Amino acid sequence: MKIEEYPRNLEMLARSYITGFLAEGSKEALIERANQLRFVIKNKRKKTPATWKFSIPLERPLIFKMAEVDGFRLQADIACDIEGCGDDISRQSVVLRVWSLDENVSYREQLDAIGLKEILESCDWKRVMLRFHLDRRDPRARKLEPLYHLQVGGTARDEENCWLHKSIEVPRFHHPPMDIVLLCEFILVNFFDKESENLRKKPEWRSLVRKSQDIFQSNYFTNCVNHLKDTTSTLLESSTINS
Amino acid sequence: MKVINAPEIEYENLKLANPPIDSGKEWSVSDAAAWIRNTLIKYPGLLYGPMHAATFLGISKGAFLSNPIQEVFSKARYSGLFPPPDGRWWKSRLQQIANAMMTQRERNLLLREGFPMAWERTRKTAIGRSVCVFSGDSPAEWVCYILKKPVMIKYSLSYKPDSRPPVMDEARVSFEAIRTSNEVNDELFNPLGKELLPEIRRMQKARS
Repeated sequence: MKIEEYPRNLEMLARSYITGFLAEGSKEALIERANQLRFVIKNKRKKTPATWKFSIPLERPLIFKMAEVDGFRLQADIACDIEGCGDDISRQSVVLRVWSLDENVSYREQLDAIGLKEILESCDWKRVMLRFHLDRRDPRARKLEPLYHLQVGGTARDEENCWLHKSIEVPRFHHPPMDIVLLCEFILVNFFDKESENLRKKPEWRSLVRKSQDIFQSNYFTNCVNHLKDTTSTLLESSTINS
Repeated sequence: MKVINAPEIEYENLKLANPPIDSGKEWSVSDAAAWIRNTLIKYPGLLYGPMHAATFLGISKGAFLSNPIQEVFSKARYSGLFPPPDGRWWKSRLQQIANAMMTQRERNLLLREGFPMAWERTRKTAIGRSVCVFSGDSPAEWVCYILKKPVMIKYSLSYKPDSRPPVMDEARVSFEAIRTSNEVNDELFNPLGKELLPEIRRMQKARS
């Protein structure tokens, strides 16, 4: 089973590859969660495929170091909830938040309430300006949505003082599923382009990312190719209704 | 720091290289000597030998050892205790001197790309590049731990032959060494690297 390798991959990710990009304490937290996952998978494996869950809660996300991008001081963090049985993924919800650390960006004199200024000042101007959910459709969802989708916004926590509105839940873009490894690659490319250049060239790193592609994305793309061949439907329609 | 004549900019990195000092105490001479020989000079990272220095600058070892280049980088040469016969150069000073020769456009490139361009522009003479031992492409960014030749990061794997401090450059082994050398010990690759070995050993040499 591919998933049996996953805890080791997560531990390698934390120990060998992204340590230098993580804020203090995040490396250790990721290793701890990888070990928990290893324990669950190992103990259930013998009888039937293991039911497993890998979770990094929003209360204690995987936090990256502050990055300077185009003159803005930004900090990305990620949280996730992924569940499955053996190699089958039943729930997948990944959140990427982009925090601003700049007063001028976090607080806009002419748009924001004065009361917010004091709140932001007391937390060093940290504010979530962008927020993305990369989710698998909830089986209980009433709205039409692609099986795997990207949503901007989502339900923010109070301390985020999120720039985006909490209640607007559309649109949901058709998007390949992501996990922590794939999202880390995404963050390195977007926030630490130069600093991570050598890392991203390493065959071991590429192999690590490919393993996550294999676990989390290969079925998705196989389905996309099949949907593209289906002359009676569209890709979005097929992924929304038939998947 | 005086006995090794270290540039000030390296003080923090030197502290990360596990020098034998306890806060408030003096160095013991024998411990200090052992550290200089067995860590500072032995592992590339703060000091570079000719091959590492050349690769850092994006040029061939022969070009680096040529008189005109040696003249330019003479102030980067290590002049502290126990200088090895083949020479060592402070990485930070190599970078400083090279940067001073480069235009803003060249500085926007990676040093190993910008410096050879700057040299050719100012000296009006071609300079040999650091060529990857596996692919033949340049500039190669690393030095193969086994073959001691330049290699591109994407054609090499991380290797753990020793317990060098993390501030030093990691050891990497070229695909070429993996394919051809009996000195490669498979147990010294990390698990991800070890998985890639059979595939690398089946590869044809990338050079066309």
